[in-house]
Amino acid sequence: MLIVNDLSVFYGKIKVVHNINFTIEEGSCVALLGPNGAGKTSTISSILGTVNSTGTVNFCNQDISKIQTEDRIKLGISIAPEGRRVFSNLSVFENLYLGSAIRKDRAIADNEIENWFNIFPILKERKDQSAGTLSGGEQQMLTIARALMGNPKILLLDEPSLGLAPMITKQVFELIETLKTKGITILLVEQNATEALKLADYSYILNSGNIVAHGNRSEILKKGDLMSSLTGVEN
Amino acid sequence: MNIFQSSKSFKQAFWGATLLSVVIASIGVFVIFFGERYHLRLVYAAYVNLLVVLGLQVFMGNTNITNLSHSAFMGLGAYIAAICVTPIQIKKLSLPDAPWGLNAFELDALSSALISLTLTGFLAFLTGLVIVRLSGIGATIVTIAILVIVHSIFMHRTDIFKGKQAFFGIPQVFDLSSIIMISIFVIFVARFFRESKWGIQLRASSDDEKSADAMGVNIFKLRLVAWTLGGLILALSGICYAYYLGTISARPFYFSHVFLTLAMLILGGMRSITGAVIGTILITFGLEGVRFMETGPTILGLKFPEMLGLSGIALGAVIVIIMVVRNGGLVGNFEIEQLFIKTRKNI
Amino acid sequence: MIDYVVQQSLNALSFGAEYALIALGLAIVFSIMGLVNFAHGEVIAIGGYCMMVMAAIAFRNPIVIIIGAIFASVIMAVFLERIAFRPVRYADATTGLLTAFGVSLILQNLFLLLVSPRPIAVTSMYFLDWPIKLGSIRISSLQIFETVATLLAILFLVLFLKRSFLGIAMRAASLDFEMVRLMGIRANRVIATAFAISGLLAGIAAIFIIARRGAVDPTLGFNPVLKAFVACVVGGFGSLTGAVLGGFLLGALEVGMLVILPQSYGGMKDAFVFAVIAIILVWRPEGILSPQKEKGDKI
Repeated sequence: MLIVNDLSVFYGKIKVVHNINFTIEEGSCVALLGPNGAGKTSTISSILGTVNSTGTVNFCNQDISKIQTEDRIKLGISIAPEGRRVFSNLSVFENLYLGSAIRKDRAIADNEIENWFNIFPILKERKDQSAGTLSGGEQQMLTIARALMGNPKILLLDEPSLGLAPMITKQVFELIETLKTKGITILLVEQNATEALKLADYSYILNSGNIVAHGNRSEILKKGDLMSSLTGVEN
Repeated sequence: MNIFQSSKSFKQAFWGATLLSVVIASIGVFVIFFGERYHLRLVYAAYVNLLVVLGLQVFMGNTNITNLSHSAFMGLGAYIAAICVTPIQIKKLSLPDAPWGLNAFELDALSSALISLTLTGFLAFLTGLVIVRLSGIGATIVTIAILVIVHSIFMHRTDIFKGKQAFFGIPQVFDLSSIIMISIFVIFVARFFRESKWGIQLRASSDDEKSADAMGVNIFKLRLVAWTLGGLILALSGICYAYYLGTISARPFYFSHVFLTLAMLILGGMRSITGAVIGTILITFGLEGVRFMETGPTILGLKFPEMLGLSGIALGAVIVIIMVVRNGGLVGNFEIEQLFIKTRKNI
Repeated sequence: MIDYVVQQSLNALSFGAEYALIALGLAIVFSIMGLVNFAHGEVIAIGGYCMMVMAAIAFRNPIVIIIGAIFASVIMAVFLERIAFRPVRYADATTGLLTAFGVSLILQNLFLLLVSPRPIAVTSMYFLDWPIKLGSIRISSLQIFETVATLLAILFLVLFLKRSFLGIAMRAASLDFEMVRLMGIRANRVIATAFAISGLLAGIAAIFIIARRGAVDPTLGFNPVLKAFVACVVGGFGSLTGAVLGGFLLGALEVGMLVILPQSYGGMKDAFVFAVIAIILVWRPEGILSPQKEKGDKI
């Protein structure tokens, strides 16, 4: 569904991602792991078209590497960004409402907000509260719910567990598990490799802008030393 | 040379300023020998504008905060010097109702200039205390406030400044050669400031206020130094203006002059002294051409219509085009000595 | 005495309404793209010139002229965004500010070149102005129209920003513009809407300015916008509430100055107003109601 081919990302003249390739099958959950500064978020940004990059990104048999960010979103790529970035002065409801921007059937989308409220009861409780007043975990739920409002074909999750307490982190990963069972295609970027490896069908390990390893959970765990130094996962 | 970070930056500043001085002096000398009387006036005015642009550069170029009050400080410098230097007999006539005995004393040209510099510099310092604490747009708005306040004082206190009417009888102290020398002096000052520790720290902090703060750079103090130094140069430009023309009025120290000199600085590139000089030269010559077209001349038998406003359009277009196409100006961070000396890349 | 106070308060309200109207137009653009739009005054002037042209080609119906003027201002604002401000959209604030200055300079001189440097009479809005006597208080109908129109404009703007999808998107854009794009909402659409609204407000302001002055000249909008800027900054640049508050505060200040200052100092009104503003900024450098500084919450 998403094929990234020979992708490099540049900030000015500095190259931060070096000619990487990876593929995400429809309905699968792929994790992009690695330490801080490995180029994970840069890779996500290049899929969205908010940074300078070379190489091609192919989505649903269409080359999207030359089109505008907004058009990529419209094709069905949705993002729950790093740092959550909820619109803090807007209410929870308004945040979700904006999430349905790309849909034509806005009336149906309104009903769906109700569905999300059932999955995230806490959001329903705080529906009219401004998003900035939510706790970190609640904001993360909101970010994910907002990203799902547009009925995306693929969901990009950038560091969903960053800065959250272990209890909350667990809830977030449970939520991702639920989404996975619903058949949503997911690209998960994480530093918390232990949890991410459990979830993902296939994982790529990035370091200094290169893919240094890939495979399913057991294959990756076999590479013991490399893994523990890069991701902190012990066998 | 402990105001410089290294002897290298001193050397660079020195050679750069010297080269620009040669350029500036040769244009002036050429005009002195070959120009007609009315050319002299035009070129003199251009030198005054050069001083204004340099004064503007010292603050704007190093802090990246837009200043629109420069013409007000120039006006203050001009008026204060003019009031001090004009002979009593003339002042009795032109300022019969002046308060505080302003029409009952006269001073020599040098003391008048010094008083003007001191007072204007002090006012710059006082306003600077406010300006440097504000962030970008707030600071710009306050500079507009200064411009409007000073202008309304000029216009309203006709007993001191004569407002719209001409303040006349200022003895002619300077000629073209004096202003050439003053320009060279100011080029050195501005260039040395740019290359000094303060200048470098200021430019670094204008890019990233927070990290400069974290590095222990006192931005407020540095900005205040730049603002006051700029104010002094602007006062000097005003003095030069008054000391040559003999009459001044409030009108030229307002928005149209603000835009004119701003366009000069922006065209060349406000981060560099070379840019300031080039911008001034280009706009001065370019504008003469445009003004000629404005009057509706007959060229090759073709009668052009009178086109008032053309020069304003040209200035506006210069500003917009530079901002859109190349917002560092024509030369960006380039300084003239880099043509001759190999330097590591300037920040 | 009471009458006098009421009279002056009404004056302050209508002055303030005009500044608030213009300041809102500036603030809405600033809040979304960080542009200090100095060319806003020329958007007002275009409204004035449009009235002049329409009156000249024999449009008698004032409603048509009003609609035409507002329409012209909206088109102008959107047009300026397209040709001048889009290229500097992601540049720093100084670049935007200077571009706007340049645009303002070009337009003022174009009016001067194409029309006339002198004021030209436009009398079609005089019908809005007749004296009203309430007891011993004398006011003009224009003041009432102006205040009411401003309040209505604010009300509609609030409704738009709270209820419509695009309005909510605009509020979101003022917090985190890139995130709005990442929702698939077109940046161009949001910004064009912001400019259209600012043009609309400028058009309404133009009608009242023309109704009061009865003439249009190239600097018609320049001075009011200068003041409106001050209102924005005082209220807290980028805050819409702040712009309205700043506008009314400025109106009160101006009328206050006229009342307090002796007749002979009337010409110094602006100087005193600007001085007070500078003092307010020293007291609160970010303005009275500065918006929360925020670009998403990065940990």
